Amino acid sequence: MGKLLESIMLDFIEPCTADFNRVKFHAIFDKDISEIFPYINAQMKSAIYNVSSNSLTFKKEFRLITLHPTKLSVSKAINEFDAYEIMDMVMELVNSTYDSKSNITPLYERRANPSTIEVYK
Amino acid sequence: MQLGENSMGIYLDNGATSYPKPSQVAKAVFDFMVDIGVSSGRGGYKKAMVADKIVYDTRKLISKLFNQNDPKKVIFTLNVTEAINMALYGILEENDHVITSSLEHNAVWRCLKTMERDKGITISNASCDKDGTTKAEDVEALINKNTKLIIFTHASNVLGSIQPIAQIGEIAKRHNVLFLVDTAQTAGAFDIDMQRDNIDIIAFTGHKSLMGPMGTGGLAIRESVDFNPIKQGGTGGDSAYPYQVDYYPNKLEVGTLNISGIAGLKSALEYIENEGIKTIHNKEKELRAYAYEQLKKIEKVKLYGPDESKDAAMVISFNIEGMRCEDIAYKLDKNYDIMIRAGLHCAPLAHELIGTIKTGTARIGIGYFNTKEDIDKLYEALVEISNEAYI
Repeated sequence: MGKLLESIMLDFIEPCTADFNRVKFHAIFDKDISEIFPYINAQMKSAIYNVSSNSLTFKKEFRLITLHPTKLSVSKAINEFDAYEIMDMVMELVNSTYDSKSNITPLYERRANPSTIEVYK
Repeated sequence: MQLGENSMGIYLDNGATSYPKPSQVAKAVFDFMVDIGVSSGRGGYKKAMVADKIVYDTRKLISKLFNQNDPKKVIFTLNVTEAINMALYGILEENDHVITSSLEHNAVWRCLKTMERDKGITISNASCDKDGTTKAEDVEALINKNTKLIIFTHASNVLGSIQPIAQIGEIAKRHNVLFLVDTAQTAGAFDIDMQRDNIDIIAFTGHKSLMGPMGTGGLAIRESVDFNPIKQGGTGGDSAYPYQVDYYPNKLEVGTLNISGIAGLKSALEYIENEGIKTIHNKEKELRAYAYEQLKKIEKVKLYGPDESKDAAMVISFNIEGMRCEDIAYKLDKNYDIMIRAGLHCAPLAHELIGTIKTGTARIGIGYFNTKEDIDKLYEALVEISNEAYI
């Protein structure tokens, strides 16, 4: 199977509003990747799939990463190097998930948070 | 003196810097300066982000070249000397013990001697044979409880002798001592693998066998290794924080980078990747062996270092009986348009070893773009020059 994403281009970078020690950035995908969201959602238990806004958010350590259909938004990245490294990581995540799509049962809704009782079980 | 278009001559000083460079390297520098031309890490506009990407991609290429495991710990400097200073002053403290070879370039040796005098470190030199080859067990025998670092040239810039870095790396790992390799004469022409050879830090230059522009070099640091910066200053971010930041690469990189040079280095690394290190190595090795065989035929020529049967960096040092090495170089340049280097080559220890500290040597440095015809012309010229020698 081919790649879904061919390129991600950094589009905007500036210090975080909330934390001037970090940077936030946006990057543009070369195509709409929203079809892969339910598959990443199924694989990544910590991801939050927001069906109504068609976006998927997850954390990498302290960084907050949101995939939109054609845009990547990241806050609390360390520096430009970190930004490009995150872009590489997202490219790998999207393409490897796309490559193994046939082996994944997609999850089309936001994963329910465990109840208090379940946590204590 | 003006040199015109036809002034190429025969360049055999690739131990000092490689020349010519692949044409795409010069084009990459030109294109960057004309079409992009802005700093990295300093702005949020489109061109600044392109500059960021060039630097990022170049770090990844260096990381891949040396099988280093963390591209953010590829640090750019102006040259390998600055890189070595950065590592030594960042790592060593009073009473630390360092083991090094008996062949080091002044980039390492002056730095260590200055720290010995001013900072109270101690130094041990591992002995080697007349060809400049060290036995790894001699390095191990020098380790003591204060040994913090082993720093070795990968290859002597005078003799070409290759040091057993894989065995030394294994010893360093076993004794929990940091291992730094100066790859000035080998990066780009030899297979160097930080994981396989247990190297903690590589110091590299961009403008020799890596075929990039002058003003490029740096360190490739293992992920688990950390040391303090020797410079403080602007990093483009976190500007309100009054101290040097603790994250890489900014921890060790301050001020504006040589991005036009890095753009050229990126192109050079891509060129090397396309050609293949093995292809480059084999061609240069064959030319060195051929040159050694040819020079050996000249009666008055005395050769130093590993002979044609051994793998060596692409330099050959020699003298002609009855003639100063500076005169050999002068005659080659003036009468034959052949460029070589003469003197101590900034490496007095190697000359102590071979007994040429007072005379120096003539040295040829073979590059990827040299040919057998270049060597034939050198041979013919040296036959004539040696006949002028006064004995």
